[in-house]
Amino acid sequence: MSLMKRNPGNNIELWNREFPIPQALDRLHTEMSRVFSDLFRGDLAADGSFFSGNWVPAADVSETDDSYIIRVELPGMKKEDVKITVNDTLLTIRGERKDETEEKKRTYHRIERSYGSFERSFNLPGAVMSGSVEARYGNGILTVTLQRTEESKKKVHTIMIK
Amino acid sequence: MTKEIEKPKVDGTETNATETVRVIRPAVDIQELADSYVVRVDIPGAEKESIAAHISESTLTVSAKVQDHLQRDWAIASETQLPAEYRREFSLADNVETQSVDAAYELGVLKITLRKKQQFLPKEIKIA
Repeated sequence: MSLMKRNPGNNIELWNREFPIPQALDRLHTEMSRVFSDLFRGDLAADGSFFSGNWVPAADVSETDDSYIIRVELPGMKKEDVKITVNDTLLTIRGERKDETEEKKRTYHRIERSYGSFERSFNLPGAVMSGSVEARYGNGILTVTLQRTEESKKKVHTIMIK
Repeated sequence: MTKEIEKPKVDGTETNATETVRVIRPAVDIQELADSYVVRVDIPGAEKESIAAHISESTLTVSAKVQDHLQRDWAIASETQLPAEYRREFSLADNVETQSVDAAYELGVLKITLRKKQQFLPKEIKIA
């Protein structure tokens, strides 16, 4: 029996091929900043990869001068399987992604997509007008638009220079 | 069918002559049935017209351009959104019939059905 000489260079090469380092670093950075921003937003379970358990769909929250827009990736889900509720400044989206496979007897070679129920809540930065919520679903993306109240709209004051 | 071609495949950005594109590696499920393979690819946000699927003797390539992809982050509306492209490539096993492939797109999911070649299907042996 002979011991194989360990070549430290091999590992690096492998790492390189699978994850080009600049991209990997970029990803790490994005992931880290996301975790931090989620922590501060009180939106801990932002991604199933960090807090395993239920599936959590990806979402973007943005604002314009008069509205908040939340977009959630829900590929493969039907409109009827999604429920949206607004309670004061808390928007909750819940639903279930059903397993769409047609046969019970099956061999999987890869399962990367998530199934099951999910719930995701968003604390809106300001008050919204009740009854102003509009939701659209198309091509696997849910877009919820909420109108901001007059008070929560961005106020820009011009400061007089004396 | 199950093998993925080894090449840089993490999400990243790419610049070609005309524009910078964010490349996204979509999630897939690959299921094997008795007479076929079913590939499901999540490409939320893609319009049907923007999806391209190509098959050759040994590879299956799926790509879709999206103008306005999620940043997947809490973000205050940013005006500099990059166009994005979902892209993924698979190497096919010898038993895949590349002449008859079905593809359907619904609700952000692309479903591709690849049939197995006749000679690879299980045969019933009759007892004489």
